[in-house]
Amino acid sequence: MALHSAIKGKLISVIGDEDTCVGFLLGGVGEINKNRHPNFLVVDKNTAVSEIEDCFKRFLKRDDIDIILINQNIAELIRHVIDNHTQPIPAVLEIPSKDHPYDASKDSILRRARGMFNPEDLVR
Amino acid sequence: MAENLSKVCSILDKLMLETLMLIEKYIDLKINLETTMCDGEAHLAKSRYIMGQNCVSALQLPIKDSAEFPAIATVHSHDDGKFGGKSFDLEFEKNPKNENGESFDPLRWFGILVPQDLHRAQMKYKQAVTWSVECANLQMEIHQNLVKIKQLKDYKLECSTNKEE
Repeated sequence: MALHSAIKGKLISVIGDEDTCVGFLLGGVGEINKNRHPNFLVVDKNTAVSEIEDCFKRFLKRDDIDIILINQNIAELIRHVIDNHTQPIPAVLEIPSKDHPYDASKDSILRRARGMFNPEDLVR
Repeated sequence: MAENLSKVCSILDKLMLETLMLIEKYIDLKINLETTMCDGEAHLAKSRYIMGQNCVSALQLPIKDSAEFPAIATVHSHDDGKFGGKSFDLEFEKNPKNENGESFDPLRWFGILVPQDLHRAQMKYKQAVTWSVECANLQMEIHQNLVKIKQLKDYKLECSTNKEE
């Protein structure tokens, strides 16, 4: 831990609805860096899908972000981009939200796992 | 070659079982995360009831033009000892300070005298951050196992094709 304190840790970023962002920022994950770039995006009904997509891609490119938290209902809007991201870091974690409970069948890592457990492949 | 094939099959079985157990843990953790977030949202709602609808909202969050401030919760990635595996350690800064060297607490965005429920919401969301990092660690393990399973399945296919020939 002492060693950790000396090295600046990597960030956890959030893309979510108002309550998710307010909550996680209260929890201490938020940051605005020297270039005035925040590591969070509040998505409301007026936010365009392209804006979410751009923000997600920007977070993927930032090397100071290790984990991206995204509400599952928002992840559904940019599913093609999330499915294209196959690198382990930054880890993209789909989290539930107030209006949308967690659905394991939509989770990208579990869908990838289900593809691996295809019985026809295993018998060969 | 037949010996190789049986070895590959037994490793594949072990990996599959391990992955299934990891998936079970992962789903349990996601449910814990959901419960914690629900509790946090309930406390946020109570704070809104006390302070007013717009006093606990995205309007209080810093925007792009706000002063620079650091993250209190950060992660450190390190090799987990397995082949090519990484895992995250969560760290909460004990005495966070902003760019001017003043101590800083996200609760202050919502006022000086905030209700106890907002403090409780903060505690719940700190717990949610901890669950999220644990989920991310499990996700990394599942990801590594899936990569290994794919490689082994390809090798198994190669072995069985050679055997048929």
